[in-house]
Amino acid sequence: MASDTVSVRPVRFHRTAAFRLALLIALLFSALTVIQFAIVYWDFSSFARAQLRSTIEHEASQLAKEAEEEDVAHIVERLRSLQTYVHGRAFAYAVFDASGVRLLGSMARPPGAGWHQVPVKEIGETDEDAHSETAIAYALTLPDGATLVVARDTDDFVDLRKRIAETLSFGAALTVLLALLGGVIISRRSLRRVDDINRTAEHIMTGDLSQRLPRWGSGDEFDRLSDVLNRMLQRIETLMLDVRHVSSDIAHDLRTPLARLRQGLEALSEEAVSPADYHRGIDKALTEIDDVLDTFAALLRIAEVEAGARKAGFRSLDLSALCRQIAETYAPVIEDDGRSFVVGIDPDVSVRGDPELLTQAVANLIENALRHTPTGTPISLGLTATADQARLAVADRGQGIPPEARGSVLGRFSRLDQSRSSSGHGLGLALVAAVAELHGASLALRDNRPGLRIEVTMPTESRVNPSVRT
Amino acid sequence: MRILLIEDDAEVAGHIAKSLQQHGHVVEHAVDGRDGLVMALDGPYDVMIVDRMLPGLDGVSLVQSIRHAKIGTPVLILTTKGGIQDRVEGLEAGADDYLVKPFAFAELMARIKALSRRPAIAQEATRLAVADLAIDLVKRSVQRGGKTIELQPQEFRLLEYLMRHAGEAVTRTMLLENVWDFHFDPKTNIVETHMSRLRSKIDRGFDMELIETIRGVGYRLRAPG
Repeated sequence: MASDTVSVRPVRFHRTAAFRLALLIALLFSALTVIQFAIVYWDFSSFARAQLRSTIEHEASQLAKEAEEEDVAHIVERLRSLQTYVHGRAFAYAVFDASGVRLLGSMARPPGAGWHQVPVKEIGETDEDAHSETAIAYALTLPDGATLVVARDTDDFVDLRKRIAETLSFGAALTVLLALLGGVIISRRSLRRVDDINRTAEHIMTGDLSQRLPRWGSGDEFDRLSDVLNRMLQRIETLMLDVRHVSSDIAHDLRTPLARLRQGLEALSEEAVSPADYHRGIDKALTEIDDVLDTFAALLRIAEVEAGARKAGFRSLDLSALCRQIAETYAPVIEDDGRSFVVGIDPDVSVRGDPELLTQAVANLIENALRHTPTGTPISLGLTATADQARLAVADRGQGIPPEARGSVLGRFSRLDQSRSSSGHGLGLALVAAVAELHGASLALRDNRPGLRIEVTMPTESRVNPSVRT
Repeated sequence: MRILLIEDDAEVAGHIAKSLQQHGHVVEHAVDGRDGLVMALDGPYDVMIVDRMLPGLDGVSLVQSIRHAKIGTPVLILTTKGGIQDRVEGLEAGADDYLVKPFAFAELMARIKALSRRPAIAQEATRLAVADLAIDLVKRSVQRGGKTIELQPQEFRLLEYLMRHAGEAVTRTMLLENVWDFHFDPKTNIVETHMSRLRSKIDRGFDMELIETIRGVGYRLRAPG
């Protein structure tokens, strides 16, 4: 089972961020729905109430108009006949004469003019007839002092309100339900993908750096996350391989001189007879040890440059002067080796950098050319500047490097001749590469037809023309 | 000379002290930064050798404290890594010279000797003379036995350094650092080549060779008398 090797605890979906988010959204939606529905409900019921009142008012004023022409007794008679229709009737009526004696209806006392809320019983309805407990009554005083009351129960109104409330609650419930459902679906989906990523990450942590996180191909945020993490894994894997490679290279490279040293000392202890023999042997051993120490020093310097701490010491410097100094330093060495040394340096090329490291980088390039080409091979040092770039080039007319090998010579301990007969620890160009990287410079190995041409191209510092300065 | 050695590695310190004593120096030894500082302030010493990495108080801070106390004794700082940063920090703190461990004792001896007599020649001097050789630092001219000698700029700087340390052994590394400002070890014989050219100009045709090679150490400009 997967759980034997993978320690990812399954996460229940209600604990996922997606579900919590969905829940929050559901709550928010419900609150909004309730508020919205409350407004609708309130608006609707006040409209219905106004509607009801206007009907009653209309009926009452109609009767009042009739009372001006007819005798009140007539009207009472007519209303009494209407009153007998209990069911389905539109209005209930009550009439009191001027002295307050009831002529019609079931109300106990004449109310004052205006609107009243009265129990349904007072207008002659029984509880069984009505859905509502209150009725709305409108009373007006006729010219002769009699009181006319028109009332109506609120059944329709109450029914309507109930209906609206029911519809709205159903809608709200549906909203909450759908929001929760959506939350569950989304959280389960993302949970599955997060679980996949977790599982793969656990595998990678157990040591399999070659694994990559899964993609679903939809290009969504999870795919993008996987892409970024995969790129990071790629970088880590490369670095890890680098480290392994370098450590084994160091071990291999140091074993050779140490083995030679051991052999030499063993021979010395067996064969040396005179103090002079011992002195010679010890000198030889010291040379071997110095070689090993040199290798360490070079490795440490590369590491220091790669760590980037030297960047703090960058200052603006005259690269032309620096190159001239180096040319002057190396000219006698190169000429003594029977070579021609061609130097072409553009004046006043200014860059930002570390003069010490740049000096060593240029020196390494020249020494590299000296070491890897036969005596008598011409060497050249050039510095040319364009508007915003300085190009430093060291070229020779030796046998060059085949194109396919050019990438690898910049690594540590690279020597083209595997016999390791040539001198040097194979770290010179690695340091040049590190220094170039630190200075934001590009390093290119080109065919000099014949020979090798190494170009370092770096940004120049924007030159301030003193005459333009204000 | 009375030398203060502040070094926590007992074996390294033992070797250094023994060698220095064999050369007739008096060595006092401190094993950590705090003791070292107390001894340095107690002084006086002719030269101090301070390890960069020390328990208690690191070498750079120690040198800073010494300089803060207005003690001008020459300090040679020993760095393990040979990293640029270590050296820059050490020199900025007030050390006069640095040496990367591991080093040859000849190198250490040469540097201590150079340090101990630092102020002998004023930095402002405009003329240096050794035997019948004289150089003018302002006119950049060289004369030997009344005869003017033409030198390349780097040859002149090389000669100037040798004359400032006349009678002392100077090592290849000292020359690389002080004449060429190379703080790394070039794999080609820069020093030897320039030295042989300088020699041919200075010594050829004269009875006494002023520049001599000291095997296993470096070079010395002979200072007769």
